[in-house]
Amino acid sequence: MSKPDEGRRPLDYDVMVVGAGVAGMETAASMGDMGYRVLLVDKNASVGGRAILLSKVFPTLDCASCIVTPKMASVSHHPNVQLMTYSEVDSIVRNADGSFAVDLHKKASYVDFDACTGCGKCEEICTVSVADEFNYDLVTRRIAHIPFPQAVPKKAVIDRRGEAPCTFTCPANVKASGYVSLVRAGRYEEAFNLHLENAPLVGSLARACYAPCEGDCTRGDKEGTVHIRGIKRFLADRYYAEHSEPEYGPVETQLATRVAIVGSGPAGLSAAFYLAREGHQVTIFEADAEAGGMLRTGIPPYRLPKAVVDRDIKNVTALGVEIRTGQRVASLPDLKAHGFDAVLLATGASDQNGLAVEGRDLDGVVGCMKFLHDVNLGAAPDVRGKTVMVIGGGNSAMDPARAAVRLGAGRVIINYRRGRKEMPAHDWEVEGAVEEGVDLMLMSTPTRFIGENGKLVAVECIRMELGEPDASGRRRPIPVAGSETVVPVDVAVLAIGLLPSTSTFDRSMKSGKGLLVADPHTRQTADPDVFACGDCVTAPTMIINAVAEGRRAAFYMDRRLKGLSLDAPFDGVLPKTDKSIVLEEAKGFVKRSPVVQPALTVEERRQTFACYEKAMSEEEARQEALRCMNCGECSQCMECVSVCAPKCIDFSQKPTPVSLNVGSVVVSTGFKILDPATKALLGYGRYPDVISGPQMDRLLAPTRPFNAVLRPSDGKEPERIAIILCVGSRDQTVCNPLCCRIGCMYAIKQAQLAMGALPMADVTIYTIDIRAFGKGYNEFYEQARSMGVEFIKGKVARIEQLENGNLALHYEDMLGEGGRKVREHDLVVLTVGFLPNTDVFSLYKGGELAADDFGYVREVDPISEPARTNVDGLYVAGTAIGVMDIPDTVLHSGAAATQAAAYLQRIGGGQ
Amino acid sequence: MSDIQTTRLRAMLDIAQDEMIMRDRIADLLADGRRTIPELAEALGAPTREVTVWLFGMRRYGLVEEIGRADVDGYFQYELVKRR
Repeated sequence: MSKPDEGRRPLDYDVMVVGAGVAGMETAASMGDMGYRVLLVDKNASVGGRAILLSKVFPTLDCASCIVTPKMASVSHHPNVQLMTYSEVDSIVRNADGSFAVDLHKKASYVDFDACTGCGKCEEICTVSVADEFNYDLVTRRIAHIPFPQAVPKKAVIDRRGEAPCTFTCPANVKASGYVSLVRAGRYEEAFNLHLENAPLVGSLARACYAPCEGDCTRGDKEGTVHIRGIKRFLADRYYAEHSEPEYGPVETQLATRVAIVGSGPAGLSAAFYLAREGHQVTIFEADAEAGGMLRTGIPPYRLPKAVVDRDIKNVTALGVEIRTGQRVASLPDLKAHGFDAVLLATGASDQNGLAVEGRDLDGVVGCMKFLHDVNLGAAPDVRGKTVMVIGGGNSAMDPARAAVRLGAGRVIINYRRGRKEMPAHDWEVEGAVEEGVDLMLMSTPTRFIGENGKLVAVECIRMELGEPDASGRRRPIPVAGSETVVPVDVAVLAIGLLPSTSTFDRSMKSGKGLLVADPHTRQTADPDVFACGDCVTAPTMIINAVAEGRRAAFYMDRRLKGLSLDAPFDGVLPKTDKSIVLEEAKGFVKRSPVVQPALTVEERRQTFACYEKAMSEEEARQEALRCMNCGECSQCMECVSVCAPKCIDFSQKPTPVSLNVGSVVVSTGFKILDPATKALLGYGRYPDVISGPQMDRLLAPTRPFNAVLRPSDGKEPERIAIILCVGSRDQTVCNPLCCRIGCMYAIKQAQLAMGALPMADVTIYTIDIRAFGKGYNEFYEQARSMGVEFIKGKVARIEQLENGNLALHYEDMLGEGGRKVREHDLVVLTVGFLPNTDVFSLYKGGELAADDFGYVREVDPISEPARTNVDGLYVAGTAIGVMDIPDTVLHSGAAATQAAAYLQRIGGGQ
Repeated sequence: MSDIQTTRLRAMLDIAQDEMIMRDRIADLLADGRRTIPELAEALGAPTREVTVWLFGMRRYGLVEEIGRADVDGYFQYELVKRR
């Protein structure tokens, strides 16, 4: 820290340099050499700017890496320069004492830079491939990546713009994007194991989950949602076919702590799984004869075969979890007396909600859970040829109705008091039921069950009409007086809601609705050693909610049992990715129609309890996985974590805000490259062999994306290369009247390098004129001519692709014979213009940082005080004032350093 | 041979999406012997530009390598890298 002058703010750094290209590095190193303490900030993960991506520099043809990497190393190792890469400046404000208050943030890289060795293993194994901006989109890179081979610091970063909507929406935060990405990459076991991290009942969820992930899939806004559950079904079936038993056993470190879990439904099983993985001794008490709870008895086998439930349960018992069936827990103190240190209540919600109408106790009137329980245990009532009426409009009504069809009922009716669109059941469930022959009796409700000799024979129903909306927002059904009708019915199934199964627990533990009361965050009850989770706390929901509940409760029980504070966050989840960003990015994507999951025909479904959906084939699953749009960028497949030897991947990282006081600021934020597609007639973006100048430089660089100088369309060595100058510079049609200053030499450099790399190739430069104003530039031009580079003075009007794949250039011959000419080439390079980087103007919040007429940072007096801006103490270096070559950039950076040093002397800051 | 393009090229991000599947198919083809990009494209029924992207994605991570020099038509042959 500088010793502050009296009344002055202490300086964290003497100067902050923003942007670590050639100008920023040169300024930082110069000021560091003068003894000033410099903070060098760059938004990218590496210093080096654009220059490090060049092949060679003109006119000396020195290797760009040889020029730039020493500067990169210099600022990286300089004792007076502190690098802050992957960081962005948010605000710069000038203080009254002449120093500057700066707010910036270090972006989350999800990699511990101190531990990362730059080995690149994470990049190799990453399953998400994207366009590589460091090769100007000529090839791909991975989401986990080291920017380029010479990067300084050579550290990996992982791109994440948010949580994928599928993962965000899943109550258990199952990383759907992750396992979909793994299936796409053909890593099925890894996909299964990833699923276990958030939910152990993979097979059951693959068949019976209502898949909220699919409801929020971004692809749903295009050709249709990715069938995520279908992909899960594929990976679960494949894994279970190959592994009849789990591949693991009890964890190595076993603890003495004992946990009792009451209930073996999805919540209890999930909690047991995660508690056992922490080493606790877990015993599940199940009142029923077999474990599984709702999975076993509440879901018909055509949706969830019981063999799948059995295999899922093995995932839990393999960890050493004991399940005691046929044991109803009546007393919590008894459990404690038996030595259990903690208890989890996960008894579910399978008690039947009654219907207060006459005749409800008749033989033939049953609750839906009883009906399904009997179906699942092979004790279903004989309904062959009979009429079954299911009362209710939710998903719990669809299961008994469709089960009754399969049992051979003569007629199955769903009776619901509102209309079709008000039915709470999923549309596809209702449609499936109707396809199978279920009749919908809508706007109707039972008023009386009519019996003979104690047995149901008919149901009296009354017609309903919809009135004003009720508390739920749905219109309240109102009986229409005198509209009663009698329907002959043999079996009536009540599916009008379920109640929590909490009757054995003390009233003091329950709310007025009979739900157990537990902390919404930790699931701890009033008794600190008793936790409760799942449907008995939340009321009936989906299986995946119960799984999520179990994992949450297990997390906090584990902390309780280990004596840790319960004041700890559970599951760090990023904000949901903005779908509009993903959809905008996907505008150039091809249409990918959903893979249709194989299924039984309607007639087959009516005849059998066999699973109505068939699993996708491997090919189908991978094709469907291709439809995932990688909304969050990183899919969280966690493969990088698995291969990182120094364990430096850290998905809990968050952006870190930093506030500093600095004596002076130098902005060296560079320029932007004009999008060549704005010159539409030249075919960039339509013809793959029309490339930009920066792309050509990558092709020519030693670290090139291909193995040689090849054309992108088919990997062929080009034979006739055209380089067109002044594309989007000196051009009012794109509002860029400036000469780019470097294009002529840049193109001549590329021509010479191309001729060196491809001795048989012809290279032609199309130019309005050649501007060779610098030292050695004209000699460089003459050297190119002597090498055989052809210069045509002519403006190219348009480019067309020929049938042989080559490109026809239509140009005006401004010398020689004149007139319109056409020339054929097989690779065309557009030497594009450059634009100001106007982002710099939003950094300074203390007023307005002045721009010149072209949008670059304005120097107030470029002759006598170069680098000085209109803000006293804030200087500009390099191409932020306008594009220039590297020697001029270095020179200008020296001026900026000198100005900043003088300013620091003036305000009494610095050393 | 590239098709004549009248519309914008398929987005690189979309092509990149296919890489994880196509690299397995390319590897299967190269397991049978070395091939040029047009030969791979023909076998895959995919555009040469897209095969170029996938192939060089594989090369970047050390899965394939070129053999010698380009043939008389200007194309290199590629083969799978033999893992030790």
